[in-house]
Amino acid sequence: MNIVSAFDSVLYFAAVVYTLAFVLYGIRAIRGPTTADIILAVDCLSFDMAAFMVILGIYFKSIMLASGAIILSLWAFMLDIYYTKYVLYGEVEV
Amino acid sequence: MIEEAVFLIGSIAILLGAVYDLIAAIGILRFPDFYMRTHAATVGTIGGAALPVFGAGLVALVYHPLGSQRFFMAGIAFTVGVLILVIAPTGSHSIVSAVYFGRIGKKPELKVDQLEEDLPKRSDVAELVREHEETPGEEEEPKFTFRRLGR
Amino acid sequence: MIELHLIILAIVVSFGFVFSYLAMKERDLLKALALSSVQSTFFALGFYILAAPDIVLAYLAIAVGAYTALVILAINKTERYEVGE
Repeated sequence: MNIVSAFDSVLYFAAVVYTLAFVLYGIRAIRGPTTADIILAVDCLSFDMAAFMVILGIYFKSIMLASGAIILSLWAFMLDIYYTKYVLYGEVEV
Repeated sequence: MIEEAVFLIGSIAILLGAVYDLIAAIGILRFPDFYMRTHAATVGTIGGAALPVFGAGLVALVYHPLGSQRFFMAGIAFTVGVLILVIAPTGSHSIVSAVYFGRIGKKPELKVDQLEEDLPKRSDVAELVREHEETPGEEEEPKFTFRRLGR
Repeated sequence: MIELHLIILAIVVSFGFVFSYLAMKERDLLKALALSSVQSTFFALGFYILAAPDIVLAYLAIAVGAYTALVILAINKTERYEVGE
């Protein structure tokens, strides 16, 4: 079994399915009736996008590209926390 | 032999994670109210993001075109996986608590609601609104504190 | 296999355009902020596929993190709904 060609076919399937999932999350973020739905869609979208970045970084053979996933998953968490603090307590301390 | 076994486990994790992600996306698009959408979202974050990241770390350990960079790539992948495992449930819990206690949107019909006594009472909210109420001006604009009164 | 990431780039940038238009037309500023964060997340993947990791690092820290925090702080100090024409 050749590992490189097998990984290419795995990545082809995974890229198609992940892109379809991104499109569906985007449609929910457009249609979302409240703000919390959009925030939830952003949450899922950024974690899945971090996973996709790591998988695509193996294909592009670059570790500099894959290091953006750490930053993305950490900053997307801050959006949830600030939204919660604004809605529940009505005040935000930076 | 051992490399092919590791690669096989990693590939199965990536493929399974992609399928999980598609299922979560369909669920988050089709479910009728917010709490059911949250259920689909937790499937999407743990099964659809943490699992393929660990699988990608296993694949990167045996992917030889990366050269000696493959250990760094595996380290990045395992770091991202552990971060997602810690962060994603915390974020989902905080959004759901904001929606429940802030009374955003429409609450579905529940048979048992054990958190109902923790909700802010109507008199407390009225007092809070009276504190923040200003003198009535000439313009009628929606304020943040007025929204909390009505269900 | 070569064209697949270009197709992903086209889809992602189109979604970013749609979300920036929606964020511009929205009257509720908190909702506009959420739509803007969706747009910046899509653009981050776009920059990633264009093979610019330094721009990805800077753009994520500014457009998803610091911009969101500062605008929520500004909404908190002023008003949530946009009034007037």
